[in-house]
This record gives sequence, C-alpha cells and structure tokens, in this order.
Amino acid sequence: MTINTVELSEDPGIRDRLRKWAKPPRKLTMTAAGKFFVLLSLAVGFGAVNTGNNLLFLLMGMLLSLIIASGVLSEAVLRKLRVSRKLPVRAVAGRDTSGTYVVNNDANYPALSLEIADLNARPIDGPLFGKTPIIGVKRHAWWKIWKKHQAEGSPIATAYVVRIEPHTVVELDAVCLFPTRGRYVLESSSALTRFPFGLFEKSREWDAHHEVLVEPAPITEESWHGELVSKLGEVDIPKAGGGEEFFGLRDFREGEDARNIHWKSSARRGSMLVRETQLRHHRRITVVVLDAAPAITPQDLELFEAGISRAAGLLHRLQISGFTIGEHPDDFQHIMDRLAVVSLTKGIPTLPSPPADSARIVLGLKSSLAVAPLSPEDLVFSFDEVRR
Amino acid sequence: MIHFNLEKIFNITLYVIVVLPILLIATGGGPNLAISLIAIVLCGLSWFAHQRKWGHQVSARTWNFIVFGFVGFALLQILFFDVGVLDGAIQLLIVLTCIRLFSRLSVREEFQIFVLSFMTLAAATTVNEDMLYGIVFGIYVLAGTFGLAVFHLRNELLTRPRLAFRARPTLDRPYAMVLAAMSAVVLSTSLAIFFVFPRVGLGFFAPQDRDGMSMVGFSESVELGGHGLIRDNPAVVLRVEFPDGKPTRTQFHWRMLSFDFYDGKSWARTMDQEGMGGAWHRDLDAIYPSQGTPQMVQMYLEPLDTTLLPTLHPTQSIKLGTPQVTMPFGSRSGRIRVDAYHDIRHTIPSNVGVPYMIWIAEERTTSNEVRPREANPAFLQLPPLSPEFAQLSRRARGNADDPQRIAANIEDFLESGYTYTTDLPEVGDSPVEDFLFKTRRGHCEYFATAATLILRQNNVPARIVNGFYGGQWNNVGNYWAVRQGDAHSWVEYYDPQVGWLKLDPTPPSDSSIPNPFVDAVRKTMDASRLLWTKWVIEYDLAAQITALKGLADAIQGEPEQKSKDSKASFKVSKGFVLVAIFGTLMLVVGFVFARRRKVDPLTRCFQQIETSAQKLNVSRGMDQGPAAFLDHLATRFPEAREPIAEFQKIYLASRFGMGAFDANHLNALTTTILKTMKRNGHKGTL
Repeated sequence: MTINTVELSEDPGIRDRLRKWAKPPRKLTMTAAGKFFVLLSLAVGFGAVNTGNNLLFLLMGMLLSLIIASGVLSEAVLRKLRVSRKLPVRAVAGRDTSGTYVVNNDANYPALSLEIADLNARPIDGPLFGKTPIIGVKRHAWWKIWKKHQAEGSPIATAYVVRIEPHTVVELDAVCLFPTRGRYVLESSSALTRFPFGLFEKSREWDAHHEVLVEPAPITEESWHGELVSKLGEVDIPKAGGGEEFFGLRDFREGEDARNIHWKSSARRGSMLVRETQLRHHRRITVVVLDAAPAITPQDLELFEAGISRAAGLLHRLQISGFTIGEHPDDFQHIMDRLAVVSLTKGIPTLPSPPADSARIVLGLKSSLAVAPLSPEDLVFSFDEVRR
Repeated sequence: MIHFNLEKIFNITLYVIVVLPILLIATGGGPNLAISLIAIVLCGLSWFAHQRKWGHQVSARTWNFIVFGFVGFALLQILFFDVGVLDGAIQLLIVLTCIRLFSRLSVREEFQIFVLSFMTLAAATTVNEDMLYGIVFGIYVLAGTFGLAVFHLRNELLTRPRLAFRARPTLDRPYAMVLAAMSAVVLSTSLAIFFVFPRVGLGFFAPQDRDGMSMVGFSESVELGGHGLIRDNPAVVLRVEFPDGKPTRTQFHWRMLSFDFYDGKSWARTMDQEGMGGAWHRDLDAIYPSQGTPQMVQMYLEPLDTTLLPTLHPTQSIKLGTPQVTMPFGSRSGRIRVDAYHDIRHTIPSNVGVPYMIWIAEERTTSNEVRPREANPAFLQLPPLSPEFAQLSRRARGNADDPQRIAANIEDFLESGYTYTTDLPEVGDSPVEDFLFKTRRGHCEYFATAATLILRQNNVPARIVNGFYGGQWNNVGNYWAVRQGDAHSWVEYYDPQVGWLKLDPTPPSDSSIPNPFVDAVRKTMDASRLLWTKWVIEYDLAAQITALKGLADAIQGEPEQKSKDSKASFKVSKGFVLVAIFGTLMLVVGFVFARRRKVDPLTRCFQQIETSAQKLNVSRGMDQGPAAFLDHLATRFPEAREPIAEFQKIYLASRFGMGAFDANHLNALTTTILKTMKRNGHKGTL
C-alpha cells in the first residue's frame, strides 16, 4: 500500500487566510466533568455572593483559579507545537490502518498530555457523499450543556503522547479508522489537550488537504465461492501444460527434471521419454455489480453495502485462488477503486456483454436482478441472501 | 495496565482530599462528630476494601438501600431530635462519600468522590470557621489540584490501554514537579481571586454570620454566689490596636455593662435600656469627665452573645468602622445607642465581629465650668440590710465628706481588710454581709457590690460595672489582647461637681507567671487568629476599600500620611518590596531554567554522562570523540555496556545523521547509564 506524506503548514493563500481569520484560533469545549465543575463554580459563587460568607469566596477562588490554570496551561501546551502527518492514501473500511504524526515542540518547556488527531473527514464520493457533510467527531454547540458529551463520534485518526520534551521532534504512531467505504478528504489536523485537569478540551487546527480512498471491507461469502468453483471452475485445454491428465510422450531434453521421465516407455523405446500432461486453466469470468434498482428503500441501501463487502470478498478470494483479475496487474486495484465509490442509483440496470470465452457473474439486489436482462448461463448472486 | 506508581499517587491524593473536610467537620463538634469519626475509620477500611474489590461484590441495590436508610435516619434526627437540616445534609454527604469510596468502579464514580469531597468542604464552612479551615484549605488546594491532574493523566491512559501497556507510564519527577508547581500557582491564584473579588453581597438568603462567644460573667443580671474559674479562660474577646505602639499604661478598665438595682443577692437593671440615638458616631464627653488630647484606639470585638461595646474609661467619643471606612457596609451596618446607664450598644443585626474606634483621654477628677447632669435616684437604691452594715459603712467612710474622699476611704478599707479569691467559701442569704462580716474573702463582684452599697449607704450615687480589666500586649501582632479570663467588676460613683468617676476596690490577686513558651505559642496563635479573622473571615467591602486606599497611598509615596488603621497598617510598601524580590528571583530562576532547557536534549544527556563519568575519575581525553569516549566508558563499566551501546547508536545517528529520536527513551537510557555507573563507581576508578 502506498503512503504519501503531507506536510501540514499554514497555507498563505488568500482563501485560506480568510477562512483562518474567520475561524477561532483555538476551540474550547467542556468535558462531562468540566460541565459539572462549571455548574459547581456557579453554585458556590452564587452562595458566596448571597451569604457574604468569606470561606465560600475562598472556595470560589479555588474553583476559578482551577479554570484559569486550565486555560493557561492548555494554551502553553499547544502554543509552540508544529505538526505534520504521514497518513495512508488507501484504507479499508472498518479496519485500523497505521499512520504517523510528527510533532515538533519548539517551546522551552515540555508539552504534556497531548492528542494529535484528524477529527473528521468529508466524503467526496461513495455511499456517504451528499448524505452527510462529515464523518468522525461531531461537536455540539458550546451552549448545549445538557448534552452528555460535547462531541460525539470517534476521530478518523488519533495518537496520544504523555510528554514531549522541549525542543524535540517526536513521531507518534497514529491509528486511522474509516467506518465506511468511499473517497474522503481530510481537511485539517488538530492538536488537542485536556491537560491539566480533564475539565476542558482545547484544540488547535492546522489546515492540510489529504485524500483517502477507502475500499470496502472484504467479507467472504463461502456459499458464493463454492457455487462459483463448482460451476465455473477449472477446464482442460488440449495442449501440454501443468495439469494432471495425460497428454503425450516426447523425447527427454537435457536439463529436464528426471522425475518426469516415463521409465516404462523409455525402456521399451530404448531412449529417454518424458510424460506430458494436459494444460488446465481457469475460465475467464466477468463480474457485474448492478448499481441501479427500480426503487430504493433504506433497507436496500444496507443490503447493498453488505453486498459490496461480499463482492470485494469474492474478488479477493478469486485472486487468492489463482484467478487472473483483469488484463493488467493494476486492474484489481482499479476494480477495488470502483467498488470503493460505487453507489446505488434509481433506474433499470444494464448488463454489458461478456467476452466470448468468459462466464458472467452478476451480483446485485434482488429487485435489480429481477429487472436486469440476465442470460441463463449467468451465475447470479443476490445481495438479499447474504448473511448480514 | 497503569503503572502502580500513578495509581498509588492518585489513591493517596484522593484519600487526602476526602479525609480533610471530614476532619474539619469533626473538629467543629456538634452532632456531626460521631459520624465524622466513624467515616474516617471507614475511609481507612475502604483503602483495603478497594484493593481487594470487596465493595464491588455488593449490589447497587444494597448501596441504594443504605443511602435511603440513612436519609430516613437523618429525617428522624431532624424531626425528633435537636439536629439541624444542615447537619443532616452534612451527615448524608459524609455517608455518600464513604459509600462511593467502597463502591467506586469507574472514572465517573471517582470524579463523584472529588465532587462530594468539595461539597463536604463547602458544608464545613457552616460548622468550622477557625483558622484550621485555612490550613485545611491550603492543603486541600495543593492535594486536590495535584490529585485532579493525576486523575486526568490516569484517565487518559486508561482510555488508551495499548499505549499504557507499551509505554508503562509513571509519574516521573519532571511531570510531578510540573504538577506540584501548578498546585502552588493555583493556591496563589485562589488567594488573589479571594482578595480581589468584590464583596458586594446580595444577601438574599443568609447574611454573613459567625458563632457568637458565650460571655462568662456577663448577663443582664449578676448573681453573687455562683462563679466559675474565669481566670483560666484564654479566649480573646477584644483586640485593641494603639496607633503609637505598645501603651505605657496597663491598668485598662474595659467598661461594658452597669446595674442599678440590688435585691440582696443579685444585680439587675430597672431603667430604660432601649437607649437613645441611632448614630454611628457618638460624643460621650458629657458623660465622663476627661481632660487632655484624646487618642484614637482601634478596637476589634469578637462576635459575642451581647450587643455591648467595650469602652475605656473615660471615652470621649466612639465611632463604628475604621479610619478608612467609618461607615460600615452590608452585614456590619449598624448604629450606636447609649442607654440610661451610659452603656453603649451596637445595632448590627448579624453576628459578626465589630471594628470600631474610641477616643480616650485622661480622667478628670476636678470640676470645670460644665456642670454634669444629675444622677438618677435609682443609683441610691439599697436592699434591706442589717444595722451592722450601716455601722460598717460609717467606719469605712471615716471622716470624709466629699464623694471622691469617701470613695478613696472605702477602697482603702476593703483592700486592707479583705482578700481576693476565686475559691469562694459558702455564703448565706445575704452574700455581701457574709462577705463583709464572716468570710472576708471574695472575688471582684463581692468587692464591687460591697463598695457600691457602702457608697449608697453614705448617700453617694453608685453603680456596679461589669467589663474587663487589664489584658496582655501581644508583641507578635502588636495589639492589646483582652481575654474572657480578664472579666472584672468595679464601681462607678457620682460626684456632683465632676460627674461619674471610677473606683476599683478589688485588691490585686496573686497572678502566676505564665510559662514563657506556652505564652509565646498562645500569642502567636492569637495573632494568627486575628489575621485570619481580619483578612479572611471578616474581609469585606470595607476592608477591600481600606486595602485599596493603602495601595494607592503606597503608590503615591506619602508615608507620612499613612493610615493608622490596622488593616491599612499592613505594610503595603514592604509587601511590594517582597513581591518584587520574589518576582525577580522567579524571573532569574526562570531565565536560568530556560537557558538550561534550551540545550539540545541529545547534548544535555551526553553532557550528563560525561560529567558523571568525570566524577568517577573516567575523564574524556582531548583526542576522544563521542564514540571513542562511549566505547571507553563501556569498557570501564561493563554492566552498562548495553545501554551505552544503544545510547551511542542513537547519539551518533541523531547528531551526525540528522535522524529523529525519542527524547523520552533517550532520557530513560541516560538515567539507566548514570545509575549503573554510580552503582559500580569503584570499578571505574583508575
């Protein structure tokens, strides 16, 4: 899998500058504990002002100073950091992929309890495109304090470090996880810290564009594979090859493996003869995924996603079994690229004609298969019958 | 898995912040004492129970049952016993804390313990406002801040088990130092916010209040025959600051309450006690004869169960507040009233300490052009007395005619023929006559009562006065401290030419010399308590204005006009110098630290190893490069061969190959090398 490196730097372009100007330099959210803490501070402050009890003022002073210390120290942690990242350009949905964050601490003091993350990604192609603006962490507005957590979801990529010494560079192992296939853009990386008390989370962002193609997670449907092998398995071709059936005898050539010598015939003939076997070969297969259906229900979409994973699993299994996928070594990846972004659309599916020497496998929803112009030789697998 | 170190430190800090507020509540006494002591024992048990996970085996339903059971118990206490709602709530908080300590499983439940401990600390403000609260608060802030930071770090690692397992994080020294410094900063900031936050109380629910001190020997009626060992009560009731420093005079009579009617056993007040006027500033020169230039004295009266204000004899005028803020605000706003006995009372509604000023002068015993008002005939009242008493009165008077000479003769008569004691003998139905004719021993109330009655028998209007006598100079806090044990009774008699004059017929007692160490400790404690009271408990808008004025004066540089008020006498300029010195020191330390930290960590680690080796007589040769030196070191210290080799690899790759390195790993390697070298130091010696 290829890796590309994207240096995160603050882009000086006008558009980016405007966006940067409009964006707050730091984002601050309260953790669940922080909300409780703020409410407690308000309650103590209210009690102190009302009663004039100086001991309550003393406690209020402590709570306020903890809030101030949180703000100052978290800023100190983030202020002099520089972050760059090395994330993969391809990933598999639902599976951890490793990457790296490179963090420079230019401060004269250590950075403590730091998390580097790509909090969210924007789908630009695939099943989520047009349906959700972002995946990953979704933040609630700061004033929605009744929400249990101010942010929901998990970051796309994340790494954590307890301490970074001053004037050092640290490479952090990041774990990337995309839950759904598709093509995504990671627009920014963030450094977050809940230091020192875990009451507030302060983050700083660096804009950096990075595209990732997420393949569907391959899931093998054993029943499909069994049926495929039994119906469209290997065939004998009338020429010498590496099969098992007898093809003929010929003269031994210098340097050939002596184990292939047919000793009985050689004795009869008086010269060395070699046994040849008939060539066996996989059949050419055309796999067609039907990406259109006359009507689409939410359940169909779920079935389609499950089916795409099975289709990817089938292709992987075919490759492992020795089938040649495509005409070119890169074709398998092209197919996976297509599977990563294919979407179910409304309409009548069409079927391309397979090459003459090729068998055709058609995959799709039952409703798509029902209207598709199938031929009796086609091997048909319905997404509706897979285990979910 | 979290390293034991971090978990242990977290547990220790958690228990410290739980136990401290409970201890505070225990020292407050009352109905919460027993449950606080039980809770402290339970806290100790929960330490072991948590380690063995005993509490986890108890179902949530059982814990709920215990909580609801206790709520019922608390309600019963409130409804049928003399337990306040607040006490019930405090007890519930303590019980909840103990249950959480036993049953804590998750991070959320541990955070609840933090919250519960804080709420207990807040609740403790209602039962304990002594200086101990300040000490506990300081420790609580330090431990709580440290604990909260460790709690955060621990939780971050708990949510990342893979990282925790791989990195085996510990709370090492640099991190701990950062957290400790942060705790100190938080404490300082807390105090700064406390002093700066404006004290503009709304007072919707409860005014500022303090527990009033019960006064031994003070009541609206004084009964002879019942008396405790009041000399042993060291509680300070009044602190007095003299602007010119320690006064030369020590015979102060702090006048509070006087009586007119004696029924043969006890004194009572029969005249109008409502008092006249309602000003916060009153002139009293028409009441007490005085002469000379009056001197201002700043008084701080502890909250008492009486509204009487002690004054010195003779007081020319009295004013509430301090020189900077003479009109008290908020809970201390009140007026001064003078009743028919010339006793002075305040009308401050809340039970708070009262700062006020009095202007005192010399007592005038001669007449001047101002004729005093006539004395009320009630001050000539006498109970039924025996003929022997009339004879004794005549004998005591001698041949004197004017009130002052009569008073002097009576004083001589009583002081020469009678003895002071607090160990009172049994007296009969007429305590004064028993004292005069039988026992001839008694305390100040007997002497004062006898003198008053003898004066009245000789047609001199007189009244018994209760108050305090003497006191002690506190050289730690530079103020005069008057204690409950200084309670005293004396006499005021009326001279038609002059006015009301003072007579103290009680002979001096045999006062034992206090232990100097105990005395010094007591004075220091009292001075600290005064500071605590002035700057924390009763710190209010008036004090803030005073401090601001002091600050403004210090900035303007007008030392000659520096306030004479005690709060303003806080040496602001000295404070500034101290702060400046401290700030400069911190800057220098910070600068040196910053310079030190700017050294590349790779070089720093190498230098550490080089210096350590030098101390062990393994010096680096002039022609030795880093690699050769480290090789040499490895041969000298074979035990450290492996870490030295690894260090060498990283050092050379990073220094000359520009490769990245893990600073934490490098530090750990350096520490290992240094320790191994130190441990095997003798082998390296040439």
